[in-house]
Amino acid sequence: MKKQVESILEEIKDLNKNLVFKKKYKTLKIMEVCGTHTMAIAKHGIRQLIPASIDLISGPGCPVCVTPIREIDKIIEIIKKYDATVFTFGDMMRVPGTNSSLLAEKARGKKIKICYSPTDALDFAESNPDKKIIFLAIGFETTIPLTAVIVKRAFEKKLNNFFVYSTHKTLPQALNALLSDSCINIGGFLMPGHVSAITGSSMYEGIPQKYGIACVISGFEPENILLSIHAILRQITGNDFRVEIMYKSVVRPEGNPVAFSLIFDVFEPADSEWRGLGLILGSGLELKKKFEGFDAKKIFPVANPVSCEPPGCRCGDVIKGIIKPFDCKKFGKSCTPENPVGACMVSSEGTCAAYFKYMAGI
Amino acid sequence: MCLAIPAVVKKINRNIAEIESLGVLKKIDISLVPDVRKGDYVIVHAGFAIQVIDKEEALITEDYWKQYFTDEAGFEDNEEEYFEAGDNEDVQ
Repeated sequence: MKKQVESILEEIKDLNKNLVFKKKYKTLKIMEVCGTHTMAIAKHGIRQLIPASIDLISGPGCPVCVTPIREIDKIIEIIKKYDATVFTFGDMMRVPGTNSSLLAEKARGKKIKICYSPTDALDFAESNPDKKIIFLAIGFETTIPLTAVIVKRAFEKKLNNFFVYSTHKTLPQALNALLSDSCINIGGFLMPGHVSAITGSSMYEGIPQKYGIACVISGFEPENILLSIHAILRQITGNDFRVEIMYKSVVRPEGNPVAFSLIFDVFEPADSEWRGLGLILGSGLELKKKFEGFDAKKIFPVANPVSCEPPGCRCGDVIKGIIKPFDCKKFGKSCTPENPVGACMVSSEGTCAAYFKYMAGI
Repeated sequence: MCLAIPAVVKKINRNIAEIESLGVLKKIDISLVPDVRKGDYVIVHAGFAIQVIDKEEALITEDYWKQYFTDEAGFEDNEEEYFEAGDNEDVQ
């Protein structure tokens, strides 16, 4: 394997040298839009292995990081106003709201539980019929079908104490919004492996043709990421822009139709705010009318909180790939994983957390 | 968030499967992969199997290696090693 990795690195260097020589680019920006890719690239030192003229940047691939501060504030308002138990994934706990976080509220005695699977929340609701349970649902297409399964199950079981607060977002709309922002000049996308396992490759079909951008769906092993970078360079060399799957053991062109169709059985698209990217039309998901009895936003109404981002926090620019974490004055100083200011430092898959953990001193 | 790990299916009981991943046995939900069979490898995300790993399709990535990076002296010898790495794909 070592020899293959060496030969692929040589090929990447040759292709890149040729492309720079032919003035196809001075610097090629390749954006990954998956937090697990962000971590893998940092952990395996892939940035340091490839030529400096290939710039790997991180995009809006971490669901926790792109959740706007207003959503955190709203869920905190709900637990302050109503007697309910909130279940969520661990990464959400420490994301700072304007004045508090879920972790701080838990320390003050509010009922907040970390779950491994959404089914934990549903099981708890079933065995505690006297308690109101809210599942704070977060995630892209990889996770949305899981929420859909438990909502359908709650419907079939006629549970009246189980609710979902959806912050779910869909990725293709965000990529299109990002590409229409003229200050971001992306030459290639490393597309997310597990989102694509659900959606298939057709979700991205419009992007290569419309924007002339290479799109390669990558796995997570370092060798697979290098193969995907190589595939991007080959597409650019041949002016042959398309969606290519380099994670074929898991990603089929049609995705997982059972899981994908479930999303739209339960949810319908809605406009959604993204940290850094602003409001993106049709990029969020809310429960359909049939399931509105489970919609925590309707059952537990709260006034719109006055939310404001921490002063000086540049998570928004990091999420858009405009700056690197090192370019933020707070990075590694007043903002660290132990004491995060912004969401990108909180999530274990946030870009700032990945840079802090693996690239400090580089 | 989208972290998912491979696991082998040991037992199936309706929508619940017992799986083994890195030596750990666990029960997961298989509602999203209704065609899964005992012995299949699956990708597990937050307590659900989200896709069945296709070993034949994994060969296509191997073909890519062969096509562009075949090391005449070493590739065949290392084939097993590649598949072992492939089986553990994305374990972080």
